[in-house]
Amino acid sequence: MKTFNIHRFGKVLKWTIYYNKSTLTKITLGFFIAFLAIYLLGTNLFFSSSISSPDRLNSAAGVTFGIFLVFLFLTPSWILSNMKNRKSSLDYLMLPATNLEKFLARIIMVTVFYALCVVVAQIAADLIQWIVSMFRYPVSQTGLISTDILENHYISFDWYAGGFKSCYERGSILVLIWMIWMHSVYTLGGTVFRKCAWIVTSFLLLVLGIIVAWSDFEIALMDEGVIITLMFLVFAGLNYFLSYKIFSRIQLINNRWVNL
Amino acid sequence: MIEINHISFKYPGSKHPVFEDLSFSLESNHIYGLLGKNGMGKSTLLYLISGLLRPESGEILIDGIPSKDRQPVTLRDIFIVPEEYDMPPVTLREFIEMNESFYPHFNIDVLRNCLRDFELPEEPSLKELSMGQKKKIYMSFALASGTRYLLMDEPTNGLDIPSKSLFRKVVTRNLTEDSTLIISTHQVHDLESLLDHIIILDNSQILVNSSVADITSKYTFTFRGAQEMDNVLYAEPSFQGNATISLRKPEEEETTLNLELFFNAATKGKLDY
Repeated sequence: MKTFNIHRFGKVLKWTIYYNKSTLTKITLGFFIAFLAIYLLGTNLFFSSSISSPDRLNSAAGVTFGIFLVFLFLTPSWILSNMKNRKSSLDYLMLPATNLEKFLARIIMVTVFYALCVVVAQIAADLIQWIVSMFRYPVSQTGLISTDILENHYISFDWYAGGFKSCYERGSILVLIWMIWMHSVYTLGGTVFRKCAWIVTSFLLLVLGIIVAWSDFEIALMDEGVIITLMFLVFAGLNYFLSYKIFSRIQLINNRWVNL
Repeated sequence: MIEINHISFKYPGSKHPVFEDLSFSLESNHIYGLLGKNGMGKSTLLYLISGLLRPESGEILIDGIPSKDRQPVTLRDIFIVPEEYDMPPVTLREFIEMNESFYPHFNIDVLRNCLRDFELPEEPSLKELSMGQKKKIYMSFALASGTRYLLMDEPTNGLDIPSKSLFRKVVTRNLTEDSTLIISTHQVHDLESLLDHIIILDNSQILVNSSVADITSKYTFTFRGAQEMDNVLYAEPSFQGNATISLRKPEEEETTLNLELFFNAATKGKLDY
């Protein structure tokens, strides 16, 4: 049996988008309202007589990026959100595609498409913020928050580089790997826990973080950048593998809190 | 062919086994009636066959492939209609677009015929439909999918009285020749004329697994007066007299199966199975 067929995978992805149209719309709309509120209130467009300064836009850009990052970490824990009830589970599990195709389609949905919804919401809210500020401060309005996000290189993670310069020219590689590991952890949490997966996973991560912080384990490995990179990669791979195996064994009816 | 080999199953998180060492097989090109009282495992068995549940031991093979693997080659030949179903939040056209390409034998004409036979419009607005109408659309799609195995869990539940007879008409007219239909039901009156093979589950075991032809060649189903109750294996009072089952003598003509009576007699241990 062919485990992965790109043509069929495309159909599964299309099916997933069709089926989750309302979820995607809700996410976009929710973030649009949230961003708009933050931008209009946060940049003091309505409450201050002073002009919207670059600092304020910069601050809004930081908040936007922070929200986006947290959301990006949490979304894999909603990998099974399309299987909340028996009807929707049956629809997805009975779809004539392999477990791998369905698993990957869900990962892409909650990672890429959910993120795209936030981007679309952000751009729309930003445009409105820009138009409003143009009318309010026609001469001195400072521009788009999106531009500020890109110009300030939030996505390059340079802010994290300092601690690892001895091993890497840029710390962004390690941060990227750490992000992949976080993604894999929330993916695993999303497949294991049937209810409140993001809360339970976050709590377990917190407990793990405390344990690691109290031990000398992290400090011993910090100097060995290659080891810690490999360790994160291996654990990330293991997390994805376990998630896939659990997904493949999911049953339509389960009275437990976990999918094991 | 569906082979159920020594399966044991209990729900995750439950201590009570639903099946223990259950074995039987389902041949192709039949319409099976899966009967049993509430809680005997009819729906569970359908979910196990379709791979939506995994047996703890034993295996279920669909054309030689374990159903628990949920391989595309199996899934494109099996369609399950659950007792309660709600359409996803899409239009019918979108629903067809989403799903038809997964089923190589999907036939849009069959879908149109089914919708017409169910007296539904060809372009219904799904948002405005009742649960029963949505179920009819889903059953129509199931028949149009052209899968070799079609599993229906209590298909007539939730349908109004005219729709129950329409269901029989729709199935008879639109089920493809090489398809096997397995209907789990306790509403035997709605479906007895449709079935050609009866499986009765009792206490999580197969109590009866027999074709309708075998049953009617072995037993006679008649209405009798109180004075004519010789050789009766089982009887129930009715307005037409006593509905009875007796062993059929070779010279007697075959009678029509009274499925409810047969079911009651079998589950009360009055028949030799």
